[in-house]
Amino acid sequence: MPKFTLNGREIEFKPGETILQVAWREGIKIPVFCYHPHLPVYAGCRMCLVEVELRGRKGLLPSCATQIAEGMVVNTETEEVRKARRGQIEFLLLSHPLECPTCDAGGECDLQNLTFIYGPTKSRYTFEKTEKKKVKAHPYLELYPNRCILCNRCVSFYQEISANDDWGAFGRGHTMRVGPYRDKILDSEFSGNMIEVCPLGAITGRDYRFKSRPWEHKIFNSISPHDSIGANIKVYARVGGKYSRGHIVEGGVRGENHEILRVNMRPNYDVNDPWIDDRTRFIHSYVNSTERITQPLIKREGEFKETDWNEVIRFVADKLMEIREESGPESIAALAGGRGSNESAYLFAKLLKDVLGSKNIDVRFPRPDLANGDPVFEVLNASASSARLKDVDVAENIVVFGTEIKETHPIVGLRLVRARKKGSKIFYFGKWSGKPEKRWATETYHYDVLGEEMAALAILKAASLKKEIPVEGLENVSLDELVKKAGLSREWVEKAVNEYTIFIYNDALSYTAQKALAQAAVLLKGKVLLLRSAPNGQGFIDMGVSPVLKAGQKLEPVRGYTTIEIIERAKKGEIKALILYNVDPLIEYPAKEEVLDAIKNIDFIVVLDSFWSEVTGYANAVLPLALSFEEDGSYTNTEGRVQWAEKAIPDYAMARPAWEIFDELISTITGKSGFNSVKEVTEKIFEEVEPYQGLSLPLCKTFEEPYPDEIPSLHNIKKVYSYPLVKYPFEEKGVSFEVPEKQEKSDGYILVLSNHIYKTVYTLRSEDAEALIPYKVVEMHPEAMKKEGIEESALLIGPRNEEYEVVVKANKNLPENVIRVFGPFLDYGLNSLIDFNGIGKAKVAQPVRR
Amino acid sequence: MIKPLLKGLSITFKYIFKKKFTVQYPEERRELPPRAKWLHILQRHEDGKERCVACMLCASACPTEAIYIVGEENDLNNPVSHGERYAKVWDLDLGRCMFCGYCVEACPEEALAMTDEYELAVPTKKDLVLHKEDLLVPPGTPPVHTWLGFYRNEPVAAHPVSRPKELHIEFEEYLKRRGSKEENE
Repeated sequence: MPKFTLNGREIEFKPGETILQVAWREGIKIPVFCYHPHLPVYAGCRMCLVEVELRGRKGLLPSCATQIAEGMVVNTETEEVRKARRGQIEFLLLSHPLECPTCDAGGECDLQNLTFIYGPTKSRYTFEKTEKKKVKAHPYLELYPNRCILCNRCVSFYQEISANDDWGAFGRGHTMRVGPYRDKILDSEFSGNMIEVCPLGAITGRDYRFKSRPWEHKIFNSISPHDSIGANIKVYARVGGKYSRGHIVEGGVRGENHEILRVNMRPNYDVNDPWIDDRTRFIHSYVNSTERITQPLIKREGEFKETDWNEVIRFVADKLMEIREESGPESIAALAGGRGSNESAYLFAKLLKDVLGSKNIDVRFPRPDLANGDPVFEVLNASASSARLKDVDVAENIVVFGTEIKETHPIVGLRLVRARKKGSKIFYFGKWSGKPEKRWATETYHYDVLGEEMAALAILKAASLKKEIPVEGLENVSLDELVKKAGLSREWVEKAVNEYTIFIYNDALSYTAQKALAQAAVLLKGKVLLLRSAPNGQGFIDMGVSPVLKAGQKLEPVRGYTTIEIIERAKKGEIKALILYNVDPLIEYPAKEEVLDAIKNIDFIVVLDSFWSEVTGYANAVLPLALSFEEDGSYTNTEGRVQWAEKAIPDYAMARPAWEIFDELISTITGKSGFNSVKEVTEKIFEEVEPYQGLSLPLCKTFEEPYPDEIPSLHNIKKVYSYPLVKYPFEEKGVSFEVPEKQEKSDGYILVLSNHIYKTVYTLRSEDAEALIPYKVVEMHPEAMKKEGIEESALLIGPRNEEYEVVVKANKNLPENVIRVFGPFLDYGLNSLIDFNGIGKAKVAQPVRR
Repeated sequence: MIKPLLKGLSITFKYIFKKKFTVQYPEERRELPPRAKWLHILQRHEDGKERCVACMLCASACPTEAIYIVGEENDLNNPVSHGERYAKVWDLDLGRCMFCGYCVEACPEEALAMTDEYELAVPTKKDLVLHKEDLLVPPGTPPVHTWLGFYRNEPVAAHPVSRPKELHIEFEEYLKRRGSKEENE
């Protein structure tokens, strides 16, 4: 290997490496402002100047941008270098306001630290400092252009990594400034990363503003509770007694000073790299929502009575056993929202399947066609993704089908952007597409709003034609016919279908579509990246919270009822007891009327939830649950990575972790003693559940990257985390397909159930979320709005003449006959207009003016 | 025998006409040196705004962790302090404080100063916790440059008479008020 001299030492280097990289690796400190290991090199701050001597010539060069040549003599700490750095800091401080006492970054500011080391103690600048106005570009972001040193890190991140274009640097010289181009809310779902990338306090987050100082926090390693990617996060919390930082009350009662202050990223190159989305970063105030359930309650004579945990667990256990003896175990059912830990899911499935003997337990959406089975399991022999998130980076062909990546799994979008930069072909098939998709998609194709299944079958048919492998059930249908029904073109589908394609789609698609895409992946020797809609959907299915699958992805010999079947049987009165774990069917499921009929017909409903919502009113017993920040537990993300989340703050009031409740219910019913700690349950899972065997605690492997101590803005990347993968028993199986009949179009508008990044069960309960999505909002095409004469609000009229007043926003990407509706429906009852397939019909009228 | 007696008495007579050392403490108070470090005060700007901006340096300098601060953003139309932030909560636990004065030294805004108020006994431990309202001087009080003035060789100003109201009241009155508080509860 070639060698060069660094501070008098002979050091080997790889060709192409920069001086800075090698120096940091060798433990030699070089200060930086604009250099960031995950961003393109800018070489603008001139802080990393080093003295380089080559072939008799000597000079100062920026080490971050200088590639090493053989025979170079580099000195990082000569008097000349120190003088250059001192001068550089004096320049940076020329118009930097000295407001460190009020600045949020005080204590974790690169400029503060490096001024302390290199900087001059006095400024020779006696003129007035330039004043630039504060800019508010986002409800959660604050930009102080006065403090900015124009290092360009935020611009590089915003334009290169998240591929947005409404933030940049303009002007030249002393008038140069960084900021948004327009007076609109930033268009990106990753804007919060600019706070962490900023080396000082020019960009700060409003959720953390002025609350605390970095040395006061306790840091907990946790997992994002918002989506199934499970982005790794650090939770900065104030934990402790009132008058001390040192006296930490652990496991104590939650007091007024137990507070989550902010959420930052934790780098994990397998999952989220060093970036997280804004929902994960800013939405955490829901843990102190006034809608939290504080006490266990039992309904007696139509009224809720407060009780203690012993009584409510005895009451629920007795009642469940009574119903089981009277009407048989099939009359007990359970639904889950998929937001708990693996441990809770394991004991939940155990309670239902082993202790109560009922297999009517499901975590999936109530789609009627899911009663056929688990689509991905039928093709791959495991209901899981065969692709890893990392595969997206290197794949040559990617098909994203029917999934609004920005709204549901934003982190995947960053990987797609990176893949596109490497030259991959990314095809997006969807009902519509907009700017978020254009950031990464090379081609966007739109199928008919009702043609999702046909489009998926067309892709499968095209794949089978290309590989000349017939697919059972599709022999008699021609590709042209399928393509026509789907509203696509034959050319598009054939272009998208290539060898080794990765198919990315979510589990909210129809049964046929999911199965067809998985089969197409098998035919093309590609892979499937199945994005779960529920945050721990994968973990719940692995633990056996499924009527079809046992724990460990094995087929149940006799299967139970799926969600839709439970609702239908309940309407007939066949279900006597229902356990709702972290799910409110009245606001999360469509077809509210039918669900309400079912709920009213059930004798005994147990609700385990953290928040008051509509279904709690119908419950016979309400058990308050801890949220993911309040309990330890493991979570399996959508690619099958088991990640551990630490408890950051004590439980809210009397709320308890779900695994404790299920464990106590099991031990009350069976009389056997349960688990003592959550880690015991985790060990039990690693012992019993087959794909999880071989994993062990501690789950988290970390390694440190060598960055100098005086650069606080890179401290978070110092430790890089990595978690183990579950080994699923993948096996290709022959499957057959049926071509379903396409739903007919009708007059009026089609309501399509869709997602919004800021409309989830958690965001609806947090402060300030309204700034990001207005209440009662739907989207329509501007032409359609003009045709109906709607400006801001409208009335939606359902088939039974029920009226809903909504706020209408224009979205020119939608087809003209479509109204985009966002679930969950905590703010309006629009789910009664939508059927279980997520499609509804409505007429639009102008609102009544009062 | 008489000699040592006279020797002793000579000292008595020597001091009998001089100025007395003894201070009749509750009635009379001794004058403390100008840089005496007793009870803290939170100072104000000349326009009446609070000096403290809740930078929390005093809390982090405090070796006994006696100071607890919660900052909040200033209302732009009606700011409490200069700058963007003010201290919503500024608590000092005198039970922990050892009067080292590091907090005053750390304060970048000269918001903290120490006075010669040393009568700090209170009936209960709870009362040892002083809040911001107790420590703030009334508007218009001239500023004290206790520590920073010393380093700058500026003249040290006289201590203002600004005792916290809770501590200032007489003990009997205090008991009376406490009693009425308990009755209310």
